[in-house]
Amino acid sequence: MTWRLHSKGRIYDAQESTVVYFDAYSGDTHLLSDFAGFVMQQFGTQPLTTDELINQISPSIDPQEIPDLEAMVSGVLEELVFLDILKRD
Amino acid sequence: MQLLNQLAPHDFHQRLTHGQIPLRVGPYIYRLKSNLPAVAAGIKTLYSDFRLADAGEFVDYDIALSRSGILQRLQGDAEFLFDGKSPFDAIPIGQAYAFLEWGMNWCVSLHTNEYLKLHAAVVSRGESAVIMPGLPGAGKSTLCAALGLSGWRILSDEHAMIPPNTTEVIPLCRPVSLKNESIEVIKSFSSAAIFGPVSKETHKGVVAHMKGDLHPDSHDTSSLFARAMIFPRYSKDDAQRLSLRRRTDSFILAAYHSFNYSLLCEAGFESMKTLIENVDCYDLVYHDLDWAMRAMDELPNFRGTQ
Repeated sequence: MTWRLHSKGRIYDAQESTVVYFDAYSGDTHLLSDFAGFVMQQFGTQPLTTDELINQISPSIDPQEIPDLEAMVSGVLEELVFLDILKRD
Repeated sequence: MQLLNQLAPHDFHQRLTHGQIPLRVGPYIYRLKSNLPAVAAGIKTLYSDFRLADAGEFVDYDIALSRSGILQRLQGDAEFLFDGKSPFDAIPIGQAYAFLEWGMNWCVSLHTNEYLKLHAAVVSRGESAVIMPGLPGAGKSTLCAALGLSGWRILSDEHAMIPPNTTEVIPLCRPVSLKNESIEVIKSFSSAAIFGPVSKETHKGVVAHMKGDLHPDSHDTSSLFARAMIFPRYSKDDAQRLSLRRRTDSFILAAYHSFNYSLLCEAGFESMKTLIENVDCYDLVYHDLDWAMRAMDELPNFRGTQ
């Protein structure tokens, strides 16, 4: 299963625990967790599998802070699909 | 440049009746027409120091609030016209002045998209402005009026107009709309407050407008830099506080208070981002006007300025 962005949106990251994401596909603006913002920033124009995504972000993640990265990423991906920011291929 | 108060009384009434009062309000020109005594009295009181545009200048908003025909006279109604068309239902005569002001707000809220527009009061001291977005009832107009009566300059009681991708605000000074208890609060606060006609039984209750151009620079059209965004909330019960709030939350709340953020799409996002990342954002919870004003006096960029 792969995931892709509907469109390349814009992020406002003020180095807080949340980020603002503007979705050019829907025109909606979302307040997302900083982790969701980080996940989204991994996407370019190409789709990614969950494993590719985890491999890409794991070097930046402290396992003490996020012990179950896979579950965390899966939760975020589902949330982003629910918000119609990502689509599942 | 001629001021409204330089028109002789007879000339003023003649010109108003025939739609020949072109008022300069910030960057816009409103052409006003009315045959209603309360509207004439309100304009004369609240816009006396406003400049008249020259004949032949482009008019942005051509509006009329008049009573015409036997049926309207019998029913005690008036009609608001924008470019000769009526966008609203008939208006009870007793609410005519409030409706004129709301109609003037509506012109800007609906038609002006060269700026990012927030539903907000804007005040300034020195060269620095504070944007105060707020839902109706949040206490922004009461605070705006009190600040205006205490040496701050009122840039607007209704619209923060921000040129895209800047932190500037364009002044659009007009009367301050006060409702219900706020009217007496401001009358008690300062005997210098000048009020126009009172409109009763409106959908907002009792409404009166206070003259907003109280500062020597009130009619200067130059933009000023926003240095802070404050979300005021009047509360009798909560502890008073002025506290920093997160920029990302403030972004979302400011977008919620915008008339055209969504319309501007990516340009709206970029403009809001530029604004939010360059101003400090605060929550202001208050029930004592003096306390709220002292708190604002202590804001960085405003401390010690006049």
